Amino acid sequence: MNLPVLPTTVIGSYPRPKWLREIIKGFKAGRYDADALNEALNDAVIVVLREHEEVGIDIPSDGEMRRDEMVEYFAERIGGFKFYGPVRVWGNNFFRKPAVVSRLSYLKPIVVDEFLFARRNTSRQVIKVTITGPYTIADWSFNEYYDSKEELAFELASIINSEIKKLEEAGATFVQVDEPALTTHPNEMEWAVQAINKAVEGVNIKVGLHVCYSNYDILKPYFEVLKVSQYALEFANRGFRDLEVVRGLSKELGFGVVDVHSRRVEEPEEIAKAIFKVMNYVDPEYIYVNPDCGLKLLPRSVAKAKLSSMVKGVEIVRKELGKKGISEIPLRTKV
Amino acid sequence: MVKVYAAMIGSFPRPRGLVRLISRFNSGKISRERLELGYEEYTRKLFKLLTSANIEYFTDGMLRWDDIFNPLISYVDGVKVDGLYRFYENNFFFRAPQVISRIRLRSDCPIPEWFDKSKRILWEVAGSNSHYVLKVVLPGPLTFALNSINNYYSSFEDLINDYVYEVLHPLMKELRERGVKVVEVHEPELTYGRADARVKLHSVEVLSKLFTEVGLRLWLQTYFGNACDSLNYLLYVCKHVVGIDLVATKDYSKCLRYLSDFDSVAIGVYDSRNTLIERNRSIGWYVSRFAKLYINELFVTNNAPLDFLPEIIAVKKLKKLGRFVRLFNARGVGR
Repeated sequence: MNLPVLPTTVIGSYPRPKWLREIIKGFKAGRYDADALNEALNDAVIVVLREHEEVGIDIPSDGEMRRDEMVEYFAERIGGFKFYGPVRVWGNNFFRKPAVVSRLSYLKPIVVDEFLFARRNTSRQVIKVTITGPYTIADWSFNEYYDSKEELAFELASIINSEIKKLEEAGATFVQVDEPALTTHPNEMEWAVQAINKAVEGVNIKVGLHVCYSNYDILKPYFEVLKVSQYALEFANRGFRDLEVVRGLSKELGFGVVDVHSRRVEEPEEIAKAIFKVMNYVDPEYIYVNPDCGLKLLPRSVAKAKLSSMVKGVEIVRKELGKKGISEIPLRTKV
Repeated sequence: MVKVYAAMIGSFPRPRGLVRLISRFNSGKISRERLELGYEEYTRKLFKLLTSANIEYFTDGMLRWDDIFNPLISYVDGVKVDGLYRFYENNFFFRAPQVISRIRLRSDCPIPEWFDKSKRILWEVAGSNSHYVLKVVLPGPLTFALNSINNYYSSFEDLINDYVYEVLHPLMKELRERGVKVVEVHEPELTYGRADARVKLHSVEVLSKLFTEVGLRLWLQTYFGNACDSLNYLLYVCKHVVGIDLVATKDYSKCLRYLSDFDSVAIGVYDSRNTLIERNRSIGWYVSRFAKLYINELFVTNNAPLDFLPEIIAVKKLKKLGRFVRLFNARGVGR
C-alpha cells in the first residue's frame, strides 16, 4: 500500500463538537440515555473524519471522541483501577488520575469497536488507532497494589499486547502507542522500553510511538531498540529546536509542526519552512507530518484551520519533491 | 525538647468549583469580581480545613497559581512566558520563563495584595491573634534559573543574581511591610541534581544573604530528590527552616547525622504523589527519630506540593497529618 510522500496525519484527539459536549453533560445529569449518547458519539466521529478528509489529511483518526482522557479511558476499561478524583496536569486542566487497587485484568477489547466504526465511515485507506502505552498508564496512575512500577507496567504491557493483536485481527493497519511519560524517569528507561516492546510483541502491522514534551536526548539511545517503525515527536512547541536529535534516525519521523497549546494558526509557509529544515536531518521518504500532539484542547475552528494550514504547508514541500520525482512512499510496517 | 508542629507546604489541589469559575472567567462568562469572590470563598474553606486539622504553618494553597512560576513571571520585565514543559518527573507541566533581556520585577505584581487578602480571611476564620503562620510561596533562584530558557544571561550565576536582587528582593521588602513573617522558597532543583556544585552553592549563598538583609524568615523547601546529597549546601541556611522530602530520601539516617547543626527542619513524610494513606506507626517511626535531634523546631509536612493528588486524598492526608502531630505532642506517640 502506498501513501503520498510526507503523509499528513493527526496524533489522535480532536476537539469535541459543542453539541456533543452538551449531550455528554446531559447524559451525566440523566437527561439523555446511553443510546442517545452513543448516537451522538457516532455522529461526532463521522463529523471528525469528514473534517480531517475535507482539509486533506491522509491518515485520519476518530478524534478520540469517545475518550475523555488518554489514561482514564483505558483505566476505566481494565479491571483493577479506581478513581478518587481529578488531578491537575497544567494550568486549569485536570484529569481523573486512576489508582491501581487490585490485580489488573483484560476484561474485553477496548478500542476495537471504535476502529471498526471509524473504518466503516471513512474513504481513507489507512486510519490511525491510538493506544496509551503501558509505561504512561503506569506512570500516570497511583500504584497501591503492585510492589513496583515496573511490575505494574509489565502487567499493563500484556494487556495492551492483547488489545493490539485484537486490532490487527480486526484489520487495523496503523496503531500508535502513546507514551508521553516515557522519558520522565531516565533511570527507568531500560525496563520501560522493554515493557513497550512486550506490548508490541508478535504484532505485524505498522506501530508508531508518540512521545511529546520530553527530553528526546534520553529517548535517542533507544531509537533502535524499540520495536516500532515510527516516532511521532513534538517540535513546534519548542520552536523546532533540538532537531539534531533525529539526525540519522533509521526509522520514520512523525514530525510535529503545529503547536497544540497556542490558538495562533501557523502559516503554510512556516510549516513548509520547518519541513524543509527537518529534511536536513531525515530523508523526506521517512517523514510523516502531524501536529505536536492531540488537538482536543483547541477550539474546533482553530484545530481545523491548523490542520488545513498543515496540509497546505506539506503541499508546498511536495511540489518541490515532485520535481525530484519523489511523490509516494510505502506504508511500512518494519523499518 | 524539640517542638513539633504540623505544617502544609506548597499548593493545595485547586477545588473543582474554583476550576469551573476560572474556566468561566477565561471564556468571558463571569466578571473578575465574581472570580475574586470565588478565590476568597475557596481560600476560606481551605483555612477552615487547615485550622480545624491542627495545622499551624501553612500557605494559601497557591490557588491563584497555575504552576510554581505562573503568574509571577508575567510580572517580571525581561521574561516572556514560553511553551509548556514537564515539571521534573511528573505528569504536570509549567509554562517556562523565557529570559529575553535583563529581568526586573514590575510594580504591578499582585502577590503582596494576595497575601493581604489571605491574611484577612485567616483572621476571619481564626481571629487576628491566632498562632497560625501564613507563608508566602515563591520559586527559588536555582529552580528559576534551571527551568528558564535563557536567551540573555551569559551564566547561571548572573541570572540567579538578578532574580534574587531584582525580583525577589523588592518583592520580599513589600511582603515584609505587609506583615509576612515566613517565605517558603521552593528549590526542588537543589536536590534534583541538574546544576553543578558551584551554581548550587552560589544560589544558596545569595538567598541566605537576601533573607538576612531583608529580615524575613526563610523556609527553604526541597523536594523530588535525596536531601542527603544537598545538606552541605543547606548548611548555609541552617538558621532558617530547611524542608526535605523524606519520601525521596532513602538514606534518612545519613540526614540525621548532619541535621543536628540545623535550627529548624521540616520533614516531608506525607507523600503528595501517592494516594495510599500513611499509617501513624510508620510516620511515628520517622518523626520520633528526628525529634531526638538537637534542633529547635521540627515541622511534619507533606513532601511536595499537593497538586499531584486528588483533593479528597489531599484532605485526608492533611487531617491525618494534623491528628498525628496532636497525638505525638499529647501522648508522645513514638517518642
